[in-house]
Amino acid sequence: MTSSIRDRTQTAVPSVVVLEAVRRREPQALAAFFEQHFDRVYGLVYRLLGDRHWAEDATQEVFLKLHRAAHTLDPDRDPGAWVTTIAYNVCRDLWRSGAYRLSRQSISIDDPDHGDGAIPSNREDPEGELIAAEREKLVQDAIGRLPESLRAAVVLREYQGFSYEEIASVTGTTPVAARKRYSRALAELGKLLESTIK
Amino acid sequence: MIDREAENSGDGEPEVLGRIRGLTPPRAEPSFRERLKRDFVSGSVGDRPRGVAISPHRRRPILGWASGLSAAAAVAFLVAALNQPPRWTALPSGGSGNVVVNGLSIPVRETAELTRRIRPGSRIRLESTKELDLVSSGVLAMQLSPGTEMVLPPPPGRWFGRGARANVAGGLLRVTTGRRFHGARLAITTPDATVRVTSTTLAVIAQPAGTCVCVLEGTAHVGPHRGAMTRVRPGSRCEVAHGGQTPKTGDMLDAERPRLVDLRDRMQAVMN
Repeated sequence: MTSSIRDRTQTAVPSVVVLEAVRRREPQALAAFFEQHFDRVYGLVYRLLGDRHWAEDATQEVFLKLHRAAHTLDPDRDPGAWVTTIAYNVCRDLWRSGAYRLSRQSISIDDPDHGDGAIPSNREDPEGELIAAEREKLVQDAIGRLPESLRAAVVLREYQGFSYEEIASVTGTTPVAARKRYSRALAELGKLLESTIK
Repeated sequence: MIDREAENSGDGEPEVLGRIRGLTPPRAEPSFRERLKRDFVSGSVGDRPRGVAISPHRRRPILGWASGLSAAAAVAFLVAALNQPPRWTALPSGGSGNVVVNGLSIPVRETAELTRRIRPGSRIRLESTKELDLVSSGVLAMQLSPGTEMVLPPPPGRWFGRGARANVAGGLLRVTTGRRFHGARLAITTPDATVRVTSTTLAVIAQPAGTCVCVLEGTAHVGPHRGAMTRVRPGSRCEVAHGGQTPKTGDMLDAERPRLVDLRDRMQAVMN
């Protein structure tokens, strides 16, 4: 299980030539850059925001910022952390916005759109499909109920594969604090998911 | 990126981790993905309106607090500065002699030096042949007669700090209030009495035998330090004998009327 997660968080480091082309905003390089980072950005903001519509808005904002800041890209370094930091900052701005807070207050647990964006396609076992979808929804709901700092720690670590140092760098804290937040997040999730685990 | 299997070995939350890691990766709508890619590559990303405007990155709270406190401090400083009444100014005196300000003797003709030395709370003794006028423009004017010793009050503030207290140890002090004194309070204490002034022109005569207050205009309240206050109407006087408890009232002293009228009229230009 964990190996598959780690696999999906690791992206190949693009060549310096490609990144130089991204800096010049050449269409072909931008397309390759987009393909390389889209899933990662969307997955991150979806996990952090817990809603497909907000995730789409945030993803668009992230790529807008990336496009505007492309000339500042350092071609000698893996742009993954840079992209993640921008995505995290966009989410943080959203968390602080009144519109987002209002929408979070009005989201119902029964909202059909308030779940994981992926629908399993196992048509041969509709019952298992429903159960799996429900379990995923419960987990995503539990992540969404975490305080934002804890949510960021667990999402960055589990879905982005970040070290505590990298989490600290992105969220503006210390590695020790990042580790504590991650531990607290797991403890909170354990409480929230207690009934479903047993 | 890290090998989380190695780092998580001590977390002790295997069930929770299993559930978290078991989530299917979220997939965006293909149409959204294609549209965003097209816009990103063409450079038109952001032209399309978003569902909700995302506010720009906010400043750190500490900076917000710091700027808020700085602004509050600046406003407080500005208000305090604007609240300051005009400072005391000594007007030229025709007499000769000195004014002792906090023990320092200054020739009465050196009005600039006098103005520089006198402050609210200064103890002043006039050793001159003629009166000395002190003015806080628009607020309060005082005339000290030769031989008067007093502690100068702070002129009342514009909006707050509107209560002031002066002390006359001995001698004769004439007071007239200006337009900006309205609503303020001035208490003048003598060895025998307390005088409460609210917009008036009056004379306070502090002698060893007692205190006499003559009111030309407005109303003042006079009483012994631990006794009831007596209202003194325009044109009348009130006397509090040394050690006495019951003030006596009567017509104001004939000698004081022209002096108070003169003071009021001369100060008209700077007080109103």
